[in-house]
Amino acid sequence: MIRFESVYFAYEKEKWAVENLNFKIKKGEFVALLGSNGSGKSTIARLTDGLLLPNKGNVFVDGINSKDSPNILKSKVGIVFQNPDDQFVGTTVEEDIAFGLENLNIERKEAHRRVYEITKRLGIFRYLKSSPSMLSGGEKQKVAIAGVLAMQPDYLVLDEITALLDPVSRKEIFNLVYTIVKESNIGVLYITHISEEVLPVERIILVSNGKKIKEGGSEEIFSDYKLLESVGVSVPAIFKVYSFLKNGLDVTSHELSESILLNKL
Amino acid sequence: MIRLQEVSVTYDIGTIFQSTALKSVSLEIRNGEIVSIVGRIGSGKSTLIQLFNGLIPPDSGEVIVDGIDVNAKNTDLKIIRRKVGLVFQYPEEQFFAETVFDEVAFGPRNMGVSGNELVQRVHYALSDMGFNPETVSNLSPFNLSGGEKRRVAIASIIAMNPDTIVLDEPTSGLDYLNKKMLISYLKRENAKGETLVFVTHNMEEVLEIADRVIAMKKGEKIFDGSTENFFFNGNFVELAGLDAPFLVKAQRRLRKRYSNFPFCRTVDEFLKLLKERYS
Repeated sequence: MIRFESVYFAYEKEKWAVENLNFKIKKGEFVALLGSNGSGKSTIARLTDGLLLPNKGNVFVDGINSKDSPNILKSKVGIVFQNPDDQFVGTTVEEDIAFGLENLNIERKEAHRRVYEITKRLGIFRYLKSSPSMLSGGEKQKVAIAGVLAMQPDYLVLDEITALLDPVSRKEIFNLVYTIVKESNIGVLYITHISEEVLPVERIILVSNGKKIKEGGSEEIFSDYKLLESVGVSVPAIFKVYSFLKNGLDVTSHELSESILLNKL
Repeated sequence: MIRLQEVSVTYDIGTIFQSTALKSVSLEIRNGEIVSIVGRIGSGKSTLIQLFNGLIPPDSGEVIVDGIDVNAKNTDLKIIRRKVGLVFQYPEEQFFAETVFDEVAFGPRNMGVSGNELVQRVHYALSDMGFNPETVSNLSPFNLSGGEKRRVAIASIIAMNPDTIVLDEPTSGLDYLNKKMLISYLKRENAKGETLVFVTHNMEEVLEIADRVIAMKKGEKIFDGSTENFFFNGNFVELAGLDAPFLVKAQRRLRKRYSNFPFCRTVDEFLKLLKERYS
């Protein structure tokens, strides 16, 4: 389990980037962290894998305090950032994914198997010998995700991984990650400012100015239009239409799909 | 007015990398319009806008800005660039000045503007982008937030007083609030008479603000017409390889049922209509 216990963090003195933050993520759970730019989301990501350490309070991963052994945290928590270009180290996709495994001293045969398996699963197998820089934004991001998944972390932090993608690739990446993770036992913190994306997610943590504003399912989070507006997060069009039609519907906001709504219009 | 007449662009001619970016494209951007150029990556939309102010020459065809042939030998490109301002994707990555003032003043200074007029232009451009010029002028542009940086970058083009502003993915990477703010400022620029052209793959934005849509696919223009026709008369969105937003799908459905269902640009407009007239 990842556990934030009254966590405070400041880059500058007395200016809290994260303030009194409490939350838990169990293995196998997919939790979204939703907030506008500057809400503290990326700081929270870096606190989760020990890149940053709290000034006050504690971050525990499977009972290990990040202050005691940040390096163990790094091996338990995989992280993918917004811009895949910043994360490539290999000259080919294969090398890039294998690099992380070599660092973990994984035996070559096993490394090979993992690279093969994960690239098949993510649909990037045919790019194994290509240079990551030649790929499209969505494919690059798949390579970055593959690199982290191949290391078989217990937890995954995905920090705005779709923010720079076009809407078509954005949906594709989200659905892919959501399905893969649901099949596995990885605990995920999915960080985003795009509210449409998190509709299917069962637990959403809404943050603003480094503080947790609200935590709950999409129904609870999105019903308060005024609150969302005040923290700079949009209410998805699809949710607004859902709320309008709600009485005629027998689905929850998690199961919401475009086709269900369109059939009711 | 910008006019392209059967323009073609091929990159790396004569090499194995030869690729056609634009195939005989003709189009017009008329004064005062908001035109959106849409298409997937590699559709030619970025090449297209680089032709608008002579940044690249076409291999064949003509680019005419206010009657001037942009690529004629005796054309002074400075004059063209005063008429057509280009804002690249992630323009803030090209910041270099120490203060916001100098960043925004760079363009007009290059055009020979100085003294009071320079100050006026910079202040005017900054307030157009929602800033208080007094408080922001002396800040370092590098210390601003992502949304503010983007607006300073756009202000630096506005300060050159172009008739047309061409923006490549102006809201890319911005969050909801910054997007909303930027769109409202851009709309206000247009209301003051500025012609706006913006390249995007965000269909919600097109739906919300564009008067006209030009859709590109593999270097060819596959649609040129009103925003309403783009979304509702045929399936041009899908033909261009793009995804119709939910709001478009919802309206398509209601248009099938009620032939005179009005064109809605936002979900709030749509729901209001449903409540008042169709429930």
